[in-house]
This record gives sequence, structure tokens and C-alpha cells, in this order.
Amino acid sequence: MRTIPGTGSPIAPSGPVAAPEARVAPAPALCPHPSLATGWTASAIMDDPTTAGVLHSAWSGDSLVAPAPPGSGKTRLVVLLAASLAERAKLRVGIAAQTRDQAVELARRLGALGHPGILAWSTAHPTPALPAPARCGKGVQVRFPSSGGGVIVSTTARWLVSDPSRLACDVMIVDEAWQATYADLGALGAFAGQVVCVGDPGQIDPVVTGQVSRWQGSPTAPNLPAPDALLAAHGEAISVVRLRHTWRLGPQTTALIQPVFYPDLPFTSRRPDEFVKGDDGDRLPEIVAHRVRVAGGPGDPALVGACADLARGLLGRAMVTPEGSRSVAADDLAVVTAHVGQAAAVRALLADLPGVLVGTANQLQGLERAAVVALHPLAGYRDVSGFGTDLGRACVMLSRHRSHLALVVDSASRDVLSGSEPTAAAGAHMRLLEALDMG
Amino acid sequence: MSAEWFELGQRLHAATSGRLVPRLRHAPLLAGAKPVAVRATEQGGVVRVSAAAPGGQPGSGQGLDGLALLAGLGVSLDEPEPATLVTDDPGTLRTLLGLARTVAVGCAADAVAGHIAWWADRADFPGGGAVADVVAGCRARWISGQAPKAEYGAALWRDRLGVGDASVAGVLDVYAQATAGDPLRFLSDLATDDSFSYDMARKAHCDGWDWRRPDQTSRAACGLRGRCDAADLYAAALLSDPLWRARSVHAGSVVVGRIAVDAPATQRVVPVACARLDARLRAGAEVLWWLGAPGEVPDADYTGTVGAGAVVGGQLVLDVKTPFNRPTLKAGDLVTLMPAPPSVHRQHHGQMVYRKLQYSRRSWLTSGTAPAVRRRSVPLDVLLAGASDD
Repeated sequence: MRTIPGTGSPIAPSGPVAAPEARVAPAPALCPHPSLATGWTASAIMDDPTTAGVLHSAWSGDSLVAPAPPGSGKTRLVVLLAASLAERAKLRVGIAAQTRDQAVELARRLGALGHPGILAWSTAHPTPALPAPARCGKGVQVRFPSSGGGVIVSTTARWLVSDPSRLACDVMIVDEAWQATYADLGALGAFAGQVVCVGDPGQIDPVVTGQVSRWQGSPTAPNLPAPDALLAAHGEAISVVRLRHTWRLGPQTTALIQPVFYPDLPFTSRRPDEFVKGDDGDRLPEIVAHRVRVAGGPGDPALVGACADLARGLLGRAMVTPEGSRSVAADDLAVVTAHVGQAAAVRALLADLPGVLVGTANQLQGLERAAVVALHPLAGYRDVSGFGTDLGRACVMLSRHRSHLALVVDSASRDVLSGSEPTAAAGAHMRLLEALDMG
Repeated sequence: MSAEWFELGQRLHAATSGRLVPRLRHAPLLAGAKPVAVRATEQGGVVRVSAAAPGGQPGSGQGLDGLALLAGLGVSLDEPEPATLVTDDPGTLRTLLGLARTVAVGCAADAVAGHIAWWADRADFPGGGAVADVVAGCRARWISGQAPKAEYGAALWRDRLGVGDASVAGVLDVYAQATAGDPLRFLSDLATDDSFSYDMARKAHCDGWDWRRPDQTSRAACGLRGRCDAADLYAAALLSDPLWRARSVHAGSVVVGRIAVDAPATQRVVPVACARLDARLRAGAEVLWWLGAPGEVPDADYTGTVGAGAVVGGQLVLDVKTPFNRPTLKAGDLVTLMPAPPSVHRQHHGQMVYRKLQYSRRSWLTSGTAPAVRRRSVPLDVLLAGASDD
């Protein structure tokens, strides 16, 4: 594995991977006009050694992996890289997104940048509006320009029903690559001999419904996150460029989650100072744990009730950002739970506040809000389940907020963990809860 | 109520009535054409195999004799039709596979070893006809009045089903009861996949392919795709059963609601006010729906797509986009929605396309070879901008 360390002072990203309703981080928008200095629409990629290093590596022909922490500007990197390779290197670039929302967001950003990317779209779904010169294409309309470079964006699922003889490209960029399986990456390899995987290694692993015991223990199992297995299989031939700054998470959150969830990806906070004010007018800490006594399992009304109360308590508080001060509104808030039933109960309790985003960790992956209430995934459990200790799920829940996270914790969870069979995941949760107690 | 409480109710009913309570109206296992009951144990490095076929006497053997016993019961890739492994012991297949691995390539027992390897592969395909774990089958079909852990033992099911024979031949009696009656929908499709897979295994055996080697990337990828399709189809098979649907209401995967406003047949989008908030049907999900309760077998069902969902007055309202062939709906009509089952044809087509992608160009990603890098010259400004400064 060849590592290209990221250094220097990255410019702020224009936002995280986001569904259309996602709130984006406060950061400069992508430049809509070609840069006068260097003459192509995505020349901003050159302003930072890390992103320029990715461009250099990809342009020179390397396949590479770019691990990135939450809120580090992954989508921005993907868009700038694709446009740069298409416009300056005259390459045909495919982008594989993991969801339709992510594909639309990428195409929108290409359009906002002034790049004529094509979003390959199904006739079965309503056509999304894209800023020109980006456009939607359906069926055989989707093709690269007959000469020069171009960018085609689609979901991995859609690429995998496409014809590689018609849509062959020079480089395939896989966005949110830790949500793609190694099996699917192999299939994408039919379209391009060079792959670039960009994503967050701390997120929830790809959802696989089939049994995988046949490949248990194999570092190149087909169900594994694509970049992990790719590095295991071809590490010496793959470049690695790490993004080292988060523009979403503050320093306290970064100090909490980086050692637990990203031991191999040190990163620091570059988030502009922002906070929510408490009753006394002082700033609330970035993360506050609220302990609840639970007797009725994960569905205990005390847990979901605490979540709803905390969300209501945050509503209307003063929030200070670099743009000024304002009150926390409903659409600044999210409540994230582990289970569908918990989310449904919170949604019912907050039915008068439809702007509050309520969902499970899987649903809120890739989204962010100024303030978040999270229900710890082990809450209610009296034994340690694989689901409850899944680190990806906990990481998603603890990294959706910019200013403030209210974390609802079962007061018995530490005892449950200390009495359980020691596993790496249980140990990580224990360290997390200890750090919260000290904080 | 949660699905766990629903099951607890069934369990308490079974305990008080002293009878098995059905979880399913249909059989969760398809009766195989050539069942062979097997138990295999390993002690001190010696594998002992006992086996029986319907109508025959049970036999047993150690090591290669055990494999010869299986060959005599038709367990061999030389046979045109596959045998179904029927067992009540979850460790049997693992033990058999360990024994099969000791067989040298090309020797007389290799075809038996290959058949066992095929079993091991197909065991990951739920609802298939290659391997039948009768204990799992009984647990899927019935609920007893015992604690859940006790249901993992074969003795409980022999007792409850009145099977007095504790030998390997008795496993076939339990199997006969677990497979009795109409099978779940889609099980025959899963069995067809088994047959296709068996033919492929026979061909690979004839071509000298060694199943002992680890899967190549492309083969593993196609194997995963097939497993996921089978799991999705089996989940749909379970939801086709009225009793399972009744349980699934409490897990949010089957949704019961009422038509919120009168909807003439020409109205495409119909709002459905759901009885519960924890629906797992998301926007964009394809659904199957009908007028009536989840436990009913509908006279006619319809497809649709979930549009938006919103909580209105504390109640979840789903907008369902419906086809033109539906009847006029009246406000208050009871309606049941569940995920539309996958199309078997579409699954097969998808697997074919996936296989082509995995194998057609033999890219370095799937062939396991080192990446073939095509170097491009990079302009100096990019080179300098990307240079590390530490």
C-alpha cells in the first residue's frame, strides 16, 4: 500500500454527502466559472495538497483509496476530481454512487460547477432537476462524448445493469465506497481498469441479505466494504490518500470519536466555531450524555420520551455560528435511533414538529443537522448483541451534528458491557462511555 | 405489540394447550425427491457417519467407509439428480465437509466429496432443497410451549411430533412431517436454482475443478449475489404465508391501514392511514396490497409504489401510487400492504448480467492478478500542487 499523506491547510468543503433534504456544512460553494488562474472548472482541487495529491495519483493512472472522516468534503472531492480528469486529462470518468439521492447530489454539484456531467437515470423514477450544463440521460441517450473526456454519474445498481461495451470509461470513482461490497467493485471493474474509492471507513458496512459464512475470516470476502478488501487483495498496488480534517465535527466530538472509530485515520477539526447556548447563556458542550433508568428494553417509553423532551428542549435555544446568532429551528434538529420502532415512537411524540428529522442510523447516514439527539444503540439491552455494539452504527449516530449532540444513555449500559464477553466492539463502547463520563 | 410479544403469546398458548402452535400455514421446507438422513460426528480425528434413505435400514461407517455408505445412498456427483441432506444436527455438515477435504482429488470418493461440498455451498441458500435442517424447519413451522433454547434440540421435536425412533432413520420421519402440506410460495423456484447449481457442480467436477481451493473473486461475487437473491426470495416466501403476515404486522414489515379518503378508480395516489407508526415501507418501495386483513388470502391483489409518508395527527399516512386496474376505494376500507416480492425472472436476468460483468473482461479486480497500470503523463502544475510538504 502506498500512502500519500495529506498535509497543509485544506480549503473548506462545500458539504457532506447529502440527500436532497440534507443540510450542508457552512463552507464556500463550488466555483461556478472556470478558474482564471488555471483554466478549468474544477481547479479548486489544486488549492489543497491533499486533494491535489488525489488528482495527481488518479491522473497518473493509479487506483487509489481515499478514506475520509465525517464531514471532510468527500462529495466535493469526488466532483472536483471527476471534472478535473474529464476536462484537463480528457478522460472518460464514471461515478458510482450508492443511492439515488447521492447520485442526484453529485450531478447537481457537477452542474453547479459548470461541468456537463450526465446523470444516468431510470425511466421509472421522476426526473430530478439539475442545474445546466449537467443533465439527465435515460437508456441509450447515456453515452460519453465521442471525443474528449466526460463524466457519467449513476448508482452502483444501475451501472451493474449497464453494458460495459457502451459505457466503458477510463476511471471509475466509487463514492461512499465503504457502503459498496467488494463483489460490486469487481463488477464495476468491467467498466474501467482504474478505480478510485472515496468514503468514510467508520460508517455502517454494506447491507447484505445473504449468508456469508462461506467466506468468514477472509480479508477479501465479497461482502466486505470494497476498499478494505481491495487493500487486502492488492495493497501494494493501491495508493492511499487520507483526508485529515473534518469541517462538520467540533474539537470535542473529534477527540471523542477519532480514537474509538478511526484509530487508523487521525484527523482534526477545522469546523468554524459554532455552538448552542444553554439556559445560563453559556455555550453548551458539544456532547452531553443524559442518563436514563430503563426497565422495559429498547422500546422503553422512558428512552424515546427522553429523546423527544431533549429535542423540544433544544428548540428555540440560541445558536451561534460564523454567520451570526439565531434560534434553533425544527429543521436544525435531528433525532437518531438504532431501531425503526424507536424512531416511529419519537416521530409520534414529535408529530407537531414535522421539520425535525427523525430516523435510524441507517436512514440518517450521510446527513447532518446543527443539533442532534441520539439514542445510544445499547440502551435497553441487558446483554450485548452484535447489533447493539456495531461500531459503524454508533459512529453514524455520534457524528451527525455540527454544534451539539444530546446523547441518551441507559444508566446500566456500562455495567452490561463490563459483564459481557470482552470483544473489540464491546471494548470500544466501554471506552466511549468512560470518555463521556469523564467529559 | 412487538413481534417478540406476539411470539410470546403463541408460546404461552402452546404451553397451556399442550399442542404445537403453527407459525406458518405452509411448509417451510420442500420435500426432496431423494432425501438422505445423515448424522456425522468426529471424535479423536475419526469421523463416524450414520445414514438412512426412505424405506431402507440405517447404516454407519467411519472415514472413507462413511463416504462409501453415502455413495451407496446416491450421494455422488456421478448421479444425475442431487440428494437432499436431511439432518437434525447442525454440526453434521461441517463434519462431513472436513471428511470430504481429506479425499484426494481424482480418487474414487471424489465424487462423493464433491457432492458434500455442493451441500455445503447450498446450505447458505434458505428454502432450498439441497440441505434440510429439520430442527430449523420445525422451528420455522411451529412454536412449542418450551423455552426458545429447548427448541434447538431434536429430541423436543421428535417428542412433540410423536416420532419414537431416535436413530438417523427417525430424522426422515420428522422431515416428512415438517414438509407435509403445501409448501411456501417460491420454494419451487429456489429448488430450480438448486438443480441448476447441481448441474454446474457436476460439470465443474467433470472438468477437473477443485472445490477445495478458495473462491476466486468473481466466483465469490456471483455466489454472494445468488445468496442475497435467495434470501430475498425466501423472505418474500414467508410473507406469502397468512400466519407469518399476522406476525409481521408487529414488526412493521406488513402494514395495516384504512383508506383515508374516497378514491375513485381513476385516482392514482391513494392515502392510507396506517394503524401503526413503525412501518418499514419507505418512499419508493414497491408494494403488494389488497382490501382486507393481513391474515386473509386475498381474492385480488394489486401492485403499487409508496410515495411520501407523513405523520398527520399522530397517525402515519402513506401515499400509495396505484395502478389503473384497481377498484374504487372508500374511506375507511381496510387495506393491507407488504413489500412486493422480487421477480424471479428479474433476479435470474440480474444474475446473468452480473456474471457477465464479473467474467467478461477478466479485469484485475476479479481475476486476482496485479493491476495493469496504464501510466499517463501528468502536467507539472498538478505534480507540484500534489507534492507532499512533510
